[in-house]
Amino acid sequence: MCPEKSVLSTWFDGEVDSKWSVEIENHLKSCDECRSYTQKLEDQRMLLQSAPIPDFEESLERVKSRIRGKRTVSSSIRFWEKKIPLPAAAAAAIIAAFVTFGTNIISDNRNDRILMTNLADQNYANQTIDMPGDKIDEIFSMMESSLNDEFSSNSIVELPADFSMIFNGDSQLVRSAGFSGSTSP
Amino acid sequence: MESEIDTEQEFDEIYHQFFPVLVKIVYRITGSVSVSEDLCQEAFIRYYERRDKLPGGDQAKFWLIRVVKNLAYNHEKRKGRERMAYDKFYHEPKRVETNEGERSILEDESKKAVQEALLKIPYKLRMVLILKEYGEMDYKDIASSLKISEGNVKVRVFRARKLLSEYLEKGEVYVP
Ligand SMILES: [Zn+2]
Repeated sequence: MCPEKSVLSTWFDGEVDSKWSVEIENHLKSCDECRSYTQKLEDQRMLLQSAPIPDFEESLERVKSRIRGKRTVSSSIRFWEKKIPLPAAAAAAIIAAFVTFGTNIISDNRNDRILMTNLADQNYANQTIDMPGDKIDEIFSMMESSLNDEFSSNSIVELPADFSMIFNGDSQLVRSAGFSGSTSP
Repeated sequence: MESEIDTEQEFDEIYHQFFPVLVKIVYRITGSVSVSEDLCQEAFIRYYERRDKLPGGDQAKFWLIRVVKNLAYNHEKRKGRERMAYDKFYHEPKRVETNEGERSILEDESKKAVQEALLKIPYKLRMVLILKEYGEMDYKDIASSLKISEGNVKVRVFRARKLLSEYLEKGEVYVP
């Protein structure tokens, strides 16, 4: 009797234990149908291996230097489109600051704090939220874990339209993700 | 306590060890060079920021794969609408050239078509097949990297192969 095709696929990957493997190999000697199936798997693997892949030599250095340039201020990279956990009061406060005042974030070079300064409205010129670095890390890690759908709403952090992270050398992807400048969550 | 220089060196080692394979995996998943670079960059920054809490060696590779898996998935959801437009175009019948002189061009085209066929496989199945065929990983590695069972890996690899050969045979993708 022929083994299931899924078993042949597993055998093809060398993931069947030796006792069964011997039986399958014996069967293949006498069964054209199964042999032609494993040949098909082989052909597919060859095709996959022959598919052209770009040369990523340059990428290695390019990305490395981008990472280098960003390490000191990299926390701000996390402000891309993400789900925000509602129960997190602190995160909610930050979002409120964004949507209410069109807040700008200024990350200083030492990366131990982030100043959220309202630049949009002169009446709120002194409205600065100064958070110590460890609190910010907490919020970032909450935002991170909120990728887990269980605890999150569908809110999206959206930064003001004139917000720019170019000074951090951010990637195209980050820039393009959700910075539509809308003021509603 | 480790000095800053030591951890920088360790990070460099991890980076040089795993970037080449990670970026190829992400390329197979996304089909885009710039997206592959961006996602790998993000993954390594996350690794760097948590390097004191994260394992090294193969476990670091598995961790990085888990991160790019999620990043690539989010990216794909965002690109969903563009993809649908692309598929519509993609399903237009392909003109098959028979001229001998154009044969090598056609072979190149067919190799590109393999990447296109890969992109049609549902994400969860595609991910597993790509790790198997391009990630230098066995079922056990893939299972612990994606936090799924080995049985699950087995099934997904099989289903992905089946779909891939259907796409290739149906002539939706040209094979010489
Ligand atoms: Zn048979």
